[in-house]
Amino acid sequence: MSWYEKSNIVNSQVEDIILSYDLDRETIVEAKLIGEVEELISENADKFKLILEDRKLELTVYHIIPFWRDGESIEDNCGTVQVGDELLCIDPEELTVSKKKVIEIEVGRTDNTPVRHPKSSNGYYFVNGILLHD
Amino acid sequence: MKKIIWKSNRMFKMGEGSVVTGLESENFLLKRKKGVEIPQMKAKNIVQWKKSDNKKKK
Repeated sequence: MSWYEKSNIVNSQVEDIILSYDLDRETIVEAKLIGEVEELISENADKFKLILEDRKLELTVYHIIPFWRDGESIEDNCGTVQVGDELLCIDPEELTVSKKKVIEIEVGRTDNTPVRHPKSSNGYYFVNGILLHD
Repeated sequence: MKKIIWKSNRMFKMGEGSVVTGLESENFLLKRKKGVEIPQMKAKNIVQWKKSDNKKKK
């Protein structure tokens, strides 16, 4: 039996304990959702679908994401991520992380698109197994 | 659930936090199942949340 479960962002609530990561200590940590998971409607904002070999994630441009380019650690909005950059991904079953390359990026614009916005106690969390800054 | 309408990129830049997650319905966070302990061999790979963590921040 698996010890973890996937929790759809729609159903996540303040006080939920979620998987996160401490970049300074390079350690997987548990963090608490401390902010309301708001549902918002985004209109005509840049959006980017980051596609990795085994997972993907679509974000509006303002989302901050840690990534690595040529070995250098960068934290910037997702619009600056390029194909070939690496994102930190988790294997929740084994509790290990690895850097995986972005193999494709689809660019678009939001059109009255529902978006959701959790805040965690340490500022980071994994969405679809990819580390993001909140 | 609070709903906010963002009319433009600029408007969103003025908001606090400047973060958006979850444009697709299948987006998920990961959390421990209630009442399930992390296996010992894997538990060394994670710093688990403790109730006392809350008190330290007050």
